[in-house]
Formats: sequence, structure tokens, C-alpha cells
Amino acid sequence: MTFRSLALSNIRGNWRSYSAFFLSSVFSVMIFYIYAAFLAHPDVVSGHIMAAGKIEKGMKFCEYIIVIFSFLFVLYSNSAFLKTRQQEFGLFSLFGMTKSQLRKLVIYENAAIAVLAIAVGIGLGMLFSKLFFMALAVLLNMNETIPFAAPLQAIGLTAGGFFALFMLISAWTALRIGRTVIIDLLKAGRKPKGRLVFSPWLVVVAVVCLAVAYGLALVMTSDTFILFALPILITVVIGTYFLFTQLSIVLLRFIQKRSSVYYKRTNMIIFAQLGYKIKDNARILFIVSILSAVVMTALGTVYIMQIGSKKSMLENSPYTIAYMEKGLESQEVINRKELKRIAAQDGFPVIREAKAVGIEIADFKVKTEQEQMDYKGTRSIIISATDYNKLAKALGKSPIQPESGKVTLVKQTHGRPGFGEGSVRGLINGKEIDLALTGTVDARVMNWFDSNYYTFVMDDFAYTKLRSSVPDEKLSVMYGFELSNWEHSSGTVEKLRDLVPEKFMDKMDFRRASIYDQMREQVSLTLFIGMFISLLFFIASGSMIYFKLFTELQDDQAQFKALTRIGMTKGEIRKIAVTQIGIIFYVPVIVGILHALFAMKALDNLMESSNWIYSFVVIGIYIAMQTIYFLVACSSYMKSMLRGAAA
Amino acid sequence: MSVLHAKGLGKIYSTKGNVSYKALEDIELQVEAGEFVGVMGPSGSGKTTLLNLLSTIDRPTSGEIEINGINPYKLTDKKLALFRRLELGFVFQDFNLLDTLSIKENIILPLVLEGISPKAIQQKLVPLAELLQITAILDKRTYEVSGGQKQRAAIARAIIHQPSLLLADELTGNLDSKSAKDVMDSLKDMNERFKATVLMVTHDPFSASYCQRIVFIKDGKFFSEIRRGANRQAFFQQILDALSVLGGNFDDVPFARS
Repeated sequence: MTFRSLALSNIRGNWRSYSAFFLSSVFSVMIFYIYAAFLAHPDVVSGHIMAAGKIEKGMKFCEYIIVIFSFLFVLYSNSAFLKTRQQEFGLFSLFGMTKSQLRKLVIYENAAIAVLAIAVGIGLGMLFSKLFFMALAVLLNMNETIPFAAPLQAIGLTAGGFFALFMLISAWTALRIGRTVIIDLLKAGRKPKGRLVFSPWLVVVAVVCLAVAYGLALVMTSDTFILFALPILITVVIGTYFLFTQLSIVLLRFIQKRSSVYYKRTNMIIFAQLGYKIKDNARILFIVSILSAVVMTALGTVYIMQIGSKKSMLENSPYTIAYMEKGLESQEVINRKELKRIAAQDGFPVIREAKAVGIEIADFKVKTEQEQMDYKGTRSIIISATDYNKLAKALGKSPIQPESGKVTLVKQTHGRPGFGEGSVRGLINGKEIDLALTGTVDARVMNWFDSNYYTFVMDDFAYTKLRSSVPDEKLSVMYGFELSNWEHSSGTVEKLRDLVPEKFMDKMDFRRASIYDQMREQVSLTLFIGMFISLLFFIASGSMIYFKLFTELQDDQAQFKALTRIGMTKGEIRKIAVTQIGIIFYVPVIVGILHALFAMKALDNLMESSNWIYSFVVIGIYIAMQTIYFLVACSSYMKSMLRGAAA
Repeated sequence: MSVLHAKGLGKIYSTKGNVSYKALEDIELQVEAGEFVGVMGPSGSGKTTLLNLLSTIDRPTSGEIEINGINPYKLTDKKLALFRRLELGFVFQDFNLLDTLSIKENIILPLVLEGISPKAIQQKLVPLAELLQITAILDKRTYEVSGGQKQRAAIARAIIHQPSLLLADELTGNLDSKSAKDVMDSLKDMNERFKATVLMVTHDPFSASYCQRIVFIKDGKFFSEIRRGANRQAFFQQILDALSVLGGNFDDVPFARS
């Protein structure tokens, strides 16, 4: 047996604990490679794929995240392995293996794992890269496909980078072994579990940190975001860490004091072991919680942003197609019959139309007690209360009843107060006019053209009188058409736009459908690229728990074997194990969800909107995935457990 | 009334290659209520196999066992586990105490699993702990107490639910002689005061001298049986004599682990 074959057989022997780590490594290599392959793709490099520019930056950013994350993950996993194998190393030393030989052994093992993970990762990456390119081509609305390519540069970067990363970490961990006395190594496995202790001060720190973080998140607004963001991050991290190391023990103590709960059948064993399980795994649980929170917050943010911008788009452009004609019966901008015919012919019939007749008022000044504004060169319009209320009703907004003879300003103020009581002065049809202003209503009932940013609403009687002084051909008429299934109508809208003479461009708003298209593309690209990172986090965090579970398997087997002998049924053992695994799997998720909920609440505050349902969709998906992972881990754990207990 | 009755018990281990090994053959054993019986034999004589069969964690290939009139091998897995929990008590060489639980929690485990109220549990625990002289260490954890204390805690656990039969496997094997004496005294107390029926497998002639009757087995077969008179010292001598007749290797008791 050569030294190298010893290293290889060690890997084979420890395969169960290596497998989850190995799979996570393969996964990160694979994703890194796929991104690198795209970035180094000949067509992208030569600029042949124009749309690639949209995602290059995001992808590069993701590459950095993958590297940083892989570094931490491999580092953690490696030191965890070494800890579980201390007894084995002690035995090797006892047989006379020198420290440098031990180190060499560890480095050989790591090199073997690294080469295998990189090879499999790049292989799978090549296999799936075409699929990835195909999906990207669809998302980028490209007509031609991105051909398969395995750029040497990407392969070199991935293989070299990851190999260096693995070796760096294993060299570092190898240096740390061999400094302990043999007897300590041999005894490591049998170290008794000490009494669970907590420090009251750290408990207070945990509670205060979490309270401060959540409190700040709740009161944070867009103004205080920069000030609060970092303190929130720091307090959350500290609070979560002590939540697992300290607060968990306090809670268990509390349960143990309540004898009616604690001394109830299997509860005693569950809770007694749980304390040690949480204590031993506190660091992992902490990392997994933070990762879960990051994943859910990131996904939720993208999701909420999409929903939010769609909402604000509908707010800003209430109609898919809207324009303003000069003259009561004029069809200079577009022929309305033709418009409806084309829309219907393309499968996007008009489902709602709006019309409002406005009187143009130019060079107007607004004067209130507090301020005086001169809008020289700006035009605005006055519409009747009936017209306004019709428009408002169509959009589900509240109607207004202006006082007789006075006007009300309608303008989007985003919650800020507009003009108060005062007067409006301006030119209507060349004649100076002076109107009393009652105040401002924060609303938008029509798309934005050049002259309706300020819209004044006048009661019907005064309006009719005013209108009679203006010839019909000088009236401004606003038209709005909402198409059914407008989300997909950008092609048709484009066609209609081409019918409009160039000079009316500032009197129309046909943009909604195409803006929506762009936004959807951007969001789906972000989600698509971000999804892999989230998936990586998810798999890695699961694999950490899974790995821990199996390192403790032997101890657990011995314990359950003893319990079987004194008459514990299989059902009871199953119940204990499942409850414990369940808690280990779900506690970090619950903590992560809690963090994410507060983060999303803060996001809601920032965006001044409420999107709880969407947050719950993201969380639901996450819980479902975690549940699948849990079931897999549970059944494989129970299988090896019962096999071990029966022997 | 007999608590345990084994009839023609045999166990053959067979491997895939058709190599079979007779670990036990035609063992007859009857233990009356309140009896303190020892099983002795050299290494490889089948003691552990016998104990595994009696403690129902292994199945015989021939013969039958009746414990309190019930044949445990006719029970389903779940009922068998419950049967062990209710009718049997175990004391092992390596204690088998859970180190995540305190001494007290370890002792009351069988009662807690049965769902008995905390108050009733306390009532049972207090006199028992008193008798075994472990009251002071009840709130300690397993690694904080000595081997002898651990074994007495294990005895308490084995007996707190008043099983029909207490099975002990080399219970002094991991103890020094002083602790071993304390533990055996405790076990004798349990036998005498609580009328506990005890079946003990041992190598140690000194521990065995506490029994009322000793059954010797060799090569998986019944060899001889001796009964104790009034004097323990004399019985000890008797045991040594019997062992010399029996022959075989007796030094497979592992060293004490601390």
C-alpha cells in the first residue's frame, strides 16, 4: 500500500461524510464554469451577442460571490472533517506516522477530492452549458441561438482557480493538525458532553441586538436607509449568533423546568439531546440562518421590485395607448376607428376607453399664502368635474366635487402636500383669466402628455361657461385606450405608433407595453442568474447540516442501541430522531424567514408599497425545498440509524 | 412460581458460506421469583448469547422462553419493545447511561417513557435513591460521577419500574474492587428488600459469590450447577473449585476503563 492509496482509501471510507461536501463543491464548480463559459464565449467576447452586455456585469458579480462563498464553505467543511477524524489521526501518530506525513496525507486527500470535484463540476458544466445558453437566448429575445462552446480560458480559470482554492485551504488546515498531544487526539471522540452553560450578559446582548435590528428595520425609511443599513446588518449577525449559542439554552432550561412538559414520554430525551445538538451545531445553524435570510431577502427583493415597478407603471400610464388631439372632433394624431380595428385584428381588443375634453391654459401662475410659482412657457388644461370623475371611476379612484367657480389641482405629489388655497392666473385662448384654487388632489387619471402634468378640475357649470369662450378646434381632447392582454401587446402598439405623424410625439404615450417588456426581461435575467446563486447557498447550507448529522451518527447509534435494549420501540426512536432532525433543519429556516420578513417589511417601507403576499410566495417555495431536503436527510439518517442499532 | 423458563434453548449462527456455529445448545434454565441466579462460563462458552436471548434482543434458533408466562418471541416488534420496557430491567458492563441526561433523568427514564406523572415518579425515586446511596449525585451528570456510582444509577434505572426480571451483564467488569463490592451489595439489597429476581452473567468469582445459585455453561452446553449455603466465603471457595474443574480461559474480562 503506497501513501497515495492510503489517502484514496481514506476518502472511500469516509465517503458518507464526504458526499454532501463533494456534491456542494461540484455544484459550485459547475455554476462557476457555466458563467465563466458564457463570459469567455467567443461570440460574447467578439461582441457578436449584443445583448450580453446587459448581463455581463451581473454574472461577473456572481462569480465573485461564488468564489468567496466557496472559500468559506470549503474552509469550514475541511476543519469540520479534521475534527471528526482526530481519533483516526491519533491512531496514525501512535503507529509512528510523523507530523509531516500526516499533513501530506491530508493534502493528498484534499487534492484527490479537489481534482474529482473540479473534473465532475466542469464536466457537468459543459453538459448543461448549452441548456443555459438556450435559456439565456430565450430570455434575451435573441433570434439566433448561442452555439455550444467550451472556451479553454473558462476551463483554465475554473480548474486553476478552484484547485488553488482547495489547496490553499488544505495547506492551511494541514498546518493546524499535529500540534496536539496524541492522547488528546485519541480521546477526542470520547470527550464527555459538558454541562450546558450560558452567560446572562450574552443573552441580554442577543435580545438587545435582535430587538434593535428589528426595530430599526421597522422604522427605516428611504431617508434613513444609509444611516441604518449597516447597524442593522451588524446587530442581526451578532444577535443571531448569540441566539443560537446562548438564547437557545435559556429556552431549553425553561422547558426543562416545566416538569409537566419535560417529563412526558420521549420529550425528556428529545429536549436533553437537543440542547447539545444546538450547542454543537450553533455555528452552522447561525451560518445557515444568515444564508437563508440572504437568499430569501434577495429573491423577495427582486420579486417585489418587479411587482412594484409594474404597479408604478400602471400608476403613471393608466392606459396602454393614450394621446391628445387638438380640436373637438379632430383625428389628426390617429384615426380612432383604425386604431380599434388594428388592435382587435391583432388580438388585443380595446376593453376600456376614456375621453376628456380640456381647455388649455398657458403661462399660468399659482399663488398661495405660502408660495408663488410662475410656470412661464408651460401649458396645462382644465377639465370638467364630470369628465374627471368618469376617469377617476374607471381607475377606482375617489371622485371630487370642486366648489362652484373654483378649480382643484390634480397632480401626483407622492404623498407630499401640494398647493393649498390660492389662485391660478393664466392665458386661455389668449385672454388673461383668474381662477380661485381650492387645493391639490394627489392622483393621476390619465397618461402624461406635454400639457396635462398639471390638470385643473372645474365644476360643470363654470366649465361650460368657460368652454363657450373657446372655439371647438382649440380644445384639447385626451383619449385613452386600454387593450386586453396588454402585457404582450408591444408589437401591435409599435405598429400603431408608426401611424402617428412625427410632430405629435409629445402629445402621446404609447410606451407602457414596451417598457414592460424591457422590465420583464431585466427581471427574468436577474432572477435567472441569481437563482443559481440562491440554489448554491441552499444546497451548501443543507449539506452542512447533513454533514453534521452524519458525523454524529455513530454516537447517536450507540445511544439508540442502548435505548432499544431498555425497551424503546422503533416508533419512539423514530419520533425522537425525526423531531431532532426537524428542529435542526427548520430552526435556521424559521430564523431566516423572520429576518427576511423584517427585511421585506423594511423594503416595503422604502418602496412605500405593501407586497406581503409575494413575500409569502418566496418563503413558501423556500420552505417547500427545505422540506424535500429534510425528508431525504431524514430517511437516509433513519436507515443508517436503524441498521446500526440493529447490529 | 417461576419467572423465567427456558426450554431447550439453542442458537446457531450461520453465515452465507454454509458455515454454521453452534453458540448454544439445549439449555434448560428456570428462575423462581425472588431468586438471585448467576451464569458463569469461560470465554466463548455462550454466556453473552444466552443473555441476549433472555433479554429478547436476539432470537433463538430452537427452543422456547417464557417470562412470566409469556413467550416474548411471539410478540410483534413493537409489543416486544414494550415488553422489555415493562417486564425486564437491564444493567450493562458499560453502564449505558445517556450522557445528555442527568443521573436522575437517566434513572426515571423508564417511568417517563410510560407517561407516569412527575409526582408519582418522584415518589418512586426518593426511597430507591436513598437505598442505593445516590441521592447526593442525582442532579450530577454522568461524567461527574464515579464508575460505581454510575453502575448503582444503572441498577436504579433497571429496577425503578419493578420489572419481573433484572438481567445483569458483567456489571462489575468495569469497576475496581471497592466499587464492585458496593455495587454487589446494592444488588443484593435490591434482591432482598424488593424481592427483585436477578439473573447475572459474570466472570468474577467474587461477584458470583453473592448469588444463591450458579449455573455453569461450557461450549454452549449446560455444565453444572451449585447452590449457596449460609456462608458466602465458603461459597466463594466452592465457585473457585467449580471453575478449576470447568477449565478454560477466564481472562477475557476487559481492563477497567475510567
